[in-house]
Amino acid sequence: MSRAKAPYIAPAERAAPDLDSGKYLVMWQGPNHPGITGNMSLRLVIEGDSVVDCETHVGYLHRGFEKLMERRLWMQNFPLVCRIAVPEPDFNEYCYAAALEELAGIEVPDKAVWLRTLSLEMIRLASFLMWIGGQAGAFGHGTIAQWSVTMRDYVLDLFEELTGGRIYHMYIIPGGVRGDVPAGFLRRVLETMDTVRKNLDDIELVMFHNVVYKMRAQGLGYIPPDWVDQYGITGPNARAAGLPRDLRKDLGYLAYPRLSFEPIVGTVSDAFERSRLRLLEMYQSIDLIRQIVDMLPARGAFRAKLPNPLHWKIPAGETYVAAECTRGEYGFYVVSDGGDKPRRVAVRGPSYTHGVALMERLARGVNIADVAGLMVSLHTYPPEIER
Amino acid sequence: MNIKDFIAPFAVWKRAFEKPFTVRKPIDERPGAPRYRGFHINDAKACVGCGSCEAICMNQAIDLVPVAGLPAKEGDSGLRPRVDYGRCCWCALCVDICPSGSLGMSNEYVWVDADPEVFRYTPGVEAKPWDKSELGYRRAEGYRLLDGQRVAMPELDHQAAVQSFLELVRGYSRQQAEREADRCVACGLCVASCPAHMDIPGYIKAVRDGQLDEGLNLLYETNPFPEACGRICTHRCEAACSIGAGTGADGEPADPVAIRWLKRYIADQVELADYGRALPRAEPDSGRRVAVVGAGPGGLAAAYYLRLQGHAVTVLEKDEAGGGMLRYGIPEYRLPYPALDKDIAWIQSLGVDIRYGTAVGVDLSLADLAASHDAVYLSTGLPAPYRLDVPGDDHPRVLDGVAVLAAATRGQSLGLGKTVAVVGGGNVAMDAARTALRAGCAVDILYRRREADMPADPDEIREAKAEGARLVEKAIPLEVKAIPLEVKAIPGDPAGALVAWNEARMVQKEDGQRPVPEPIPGAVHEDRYDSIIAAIGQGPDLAFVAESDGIEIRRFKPVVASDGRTSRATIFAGGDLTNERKDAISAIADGHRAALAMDRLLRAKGN
Amino acid sequence: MKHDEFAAALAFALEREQAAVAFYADLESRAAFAAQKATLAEFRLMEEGHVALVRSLQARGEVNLSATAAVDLGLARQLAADEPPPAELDFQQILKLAIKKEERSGDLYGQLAAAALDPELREIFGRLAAEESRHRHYFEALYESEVARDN
Repeated sequence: MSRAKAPYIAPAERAAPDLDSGKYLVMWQGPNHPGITGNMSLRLVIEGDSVVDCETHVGYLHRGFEKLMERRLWMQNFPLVCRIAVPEPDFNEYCYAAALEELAGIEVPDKAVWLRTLSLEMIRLASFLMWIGGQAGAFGHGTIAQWSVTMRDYVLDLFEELTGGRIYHMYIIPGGVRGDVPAGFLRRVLETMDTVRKNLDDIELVMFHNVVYKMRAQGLGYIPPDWVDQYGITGPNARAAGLPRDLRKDLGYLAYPRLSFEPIVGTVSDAFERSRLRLLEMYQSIDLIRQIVDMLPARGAFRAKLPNPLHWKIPAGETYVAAECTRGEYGFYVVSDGGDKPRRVAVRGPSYTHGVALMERLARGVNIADVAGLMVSLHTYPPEIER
Repeated sequence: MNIKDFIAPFAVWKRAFEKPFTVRKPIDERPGAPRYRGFHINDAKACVGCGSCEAICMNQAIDLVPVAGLPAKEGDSGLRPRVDYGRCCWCALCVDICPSGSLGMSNEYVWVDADPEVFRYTPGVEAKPWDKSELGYRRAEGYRLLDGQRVAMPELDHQAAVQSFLELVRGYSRQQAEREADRCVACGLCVASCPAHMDIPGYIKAVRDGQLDEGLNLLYETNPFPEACGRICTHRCEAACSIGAGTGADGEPADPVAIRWLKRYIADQVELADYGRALPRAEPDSGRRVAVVGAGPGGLAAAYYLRLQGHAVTVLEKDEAGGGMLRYGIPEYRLPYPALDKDIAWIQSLGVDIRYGTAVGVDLSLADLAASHDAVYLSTGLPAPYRLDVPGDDHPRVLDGVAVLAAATRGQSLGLGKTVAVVGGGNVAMDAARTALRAGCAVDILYRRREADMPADPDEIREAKAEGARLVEKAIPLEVKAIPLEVKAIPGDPAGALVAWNEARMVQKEDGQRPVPEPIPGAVHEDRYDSIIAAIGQGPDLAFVAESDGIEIRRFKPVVASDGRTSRATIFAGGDLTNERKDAISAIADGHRAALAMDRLLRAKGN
Repeated sequence: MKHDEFAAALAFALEREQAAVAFYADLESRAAFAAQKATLAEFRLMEEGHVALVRSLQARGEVNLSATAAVDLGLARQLAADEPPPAELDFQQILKLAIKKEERSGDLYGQLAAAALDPELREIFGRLAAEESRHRHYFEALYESEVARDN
């Protein structure tokens, strides 16, 4: 059989199995399961080895970030926001900083714009590298994770050198960035890119020309194009369905309008196509990083002068700033009442749409062994579902 | 599917023979990057304990704690930040904000201990292996969270300034004041250093928030001379200000917050007619009567706070107007009379009765005053100039600096001639020199020591020089001589005198003392001046205190307790007469303290 | 050194210190106001301390004063040497009188030390001169800190 040739469309209606009939097994997958990529739970109803019903349960990771932000000074939230999405903190930093700058009318120096772009592209690459390890691992290919996580660590070495931190960079600060690149840094970026690229070639060979991976991933979790708007699907999950939606192009924020690239699109959004598309986006990130290194201004201020952070008040107003993260549209909606703290901050993480409603539907009829692979193929990070 | 899909996965085997990527701890070390945000380090000597790190820390991981062997002093709270690594999130905002630049982070990140308590410690005080770490996070060059540069104060240029007695400093606009107020971190080091302990962070916040009535109210809580002090205060607060403790983004020493100018801004912005909206009125009459001798800032401050408590206050002033040295000692270009009049007018509006032209000891005795009032406050200051004390110092062209300034206040002709020597290095000397410059004289300032030793405010010295005064350092006056007859006989030549002075070198005679100027043998100069203004110091005039008044006096100072009480229970004294600082703000602080003590005394009497 | 020479030297010193006490007492009696009186009285008491010191030397028969003279701040030479009428004495003038007085005493002892033939006698006057120089330094420091603040 080939699911790739006849994509299976998960039913819209939720089944109502009679749990007392003895035919079904209720099974919890998570909250501590390697296929979940974070702390959340799937309550699965199983018939034989097929999923009849899936219910997502969140709440294990709720840290109340959005509420906490209302009690902290504008600048004090800067070290807080990166913690909302652990593998990809920089998008939080960027969206938060850009929202504040827009509300307060602050012009960010060009050098900072480039350094922000560099930092966002580098974290996209690092995040994809971590994801691909999870994706391969979910189908039993643990070796890929060994390689890709090492490559991710090499990228994190770069972050450590640039920002002083490996995971939480806290580099994109309102007004600009916290420092210029160290001496010799750009050369090391290019060297690392070469190493990563070589590894990606290896990964491409052993993962995408692999009969096991093809048989298990093709046709799994098929997303028809008309679901994209219905479920609010963004990022690679949408692009794999053939829609050229990429905020880097569509919104043209930071230095992206000055870089040359085209959104990568697929044809049939199943687990295989989505993972292949993400692999191509990793190559694309490497290319973009090389362009940025070429075009990065050598001199210039990297941060605008801001008021004293202890009494900084931002004029009343509200804004929504979004950016294209690895998983899709990442956004911060920020409201100021003119005070020294946010009135409200709401974070839009793409994992919320992909990991909850979409996952519940796609899981229907799936073999229980493929649930983890399906979940990872949607590339969700539970920490950003619960802010 | 094709054959490649079956064969390709075996390519993973080629990696089996590669060197592992992992670090073999503990055989291999892997130090943090040069910018790594590891454990904190703090230069405890450079740290001023302002607590900005504590204020910015969103995790409340930092506590300012007392440290043994580090006593609080001016500009240093004596506290140092203690970091709790159970809370720290390694964001380094504490490093970014640190005004003194003492705080940094090492690149050390491994620390193993079974005792959880050790992970809360005071960097720079409790020694750690990474204390000397050169690597680790520091603020990037050109990057600061705080602004080290003061908003420039609009001032007359020196050429124009010296043409008139117009006020030199023009004052901040609203936008400038709010921007300057924004630089404050509200650490409160200034409050401790201010003799009157004014709520400086409070009124700076009022400026920031545009709440000027609230600001004025805060000013008057401790100081009823905001217009005057906003201009001429010796602003020790600014020396203590943590914002001035380090360097700015440009690497230059950072400027402290312009606390004095912000105080002036508040007082300038509120019209006298609107003071009533912001300030408290006097309590109902208590039936007690208090006399204050001397209407200087200290005496009037005491009068203000006593009147607020409902006591009837009579102020006796020998001169024809109030303000004391603020009026007769400080020239108009530093403190215009309308500004001083505004301060005094508000005090009078509460019902303080000032009797001008009434000198105690001449028009009535202290004994009479004490008998007819429930309490008396003596704030007669230092009106008597000390002489040069060199041969010939009684020459008619030797003038007294304070008298010259008073004559300028009264609009009298100064008759200084064309060339003037000012002897002395204090603020009176600078004021006299700049007054003489405005009278069109060429001015030399003769000072026994070096510029750095001068007790005058550095701004005053800088401005005097900028306006054209010549500073002659290390000049010891030896003698004032009459001009020989044959020289004097030139028709139309104004009377003058010769000043003989000896070049000196500074000699460190005793350890821990300031160096002493010692004459260089033979290096004697004789210069001719039309006037010589002596401004070496002033003393009290205590002729009005009789032995029978029962006030203990030691070395021409009434002996007072910390609240200003003399050895006679109902008589208090303060200001220049008794304190060491001898400036307006200290006199105001004395007046306030004494008023509180007198109020307690008067209330106790009522029962 | 003969005993009577030692006794004569101390008797001379005692006479000088007593004269100093009398000098301040005289000014005190003519003082016009409390501040003058208090200051003169304080200085007189210091001289009385000196009298007591010399008496104790007489009683013990030996001299145990330090031989180290105080630093000369140079004021004594610079100050003008007129003596104003006592009723107008201010703090500057009283201090000046005291400095001049200590200087004269010190000079006198110094001269006596130089003139003394007996080394022990020279020692005694030398030490008395040093004692006076310490006194002068005390008053000079007071003058520097209280009077010539701006100078």
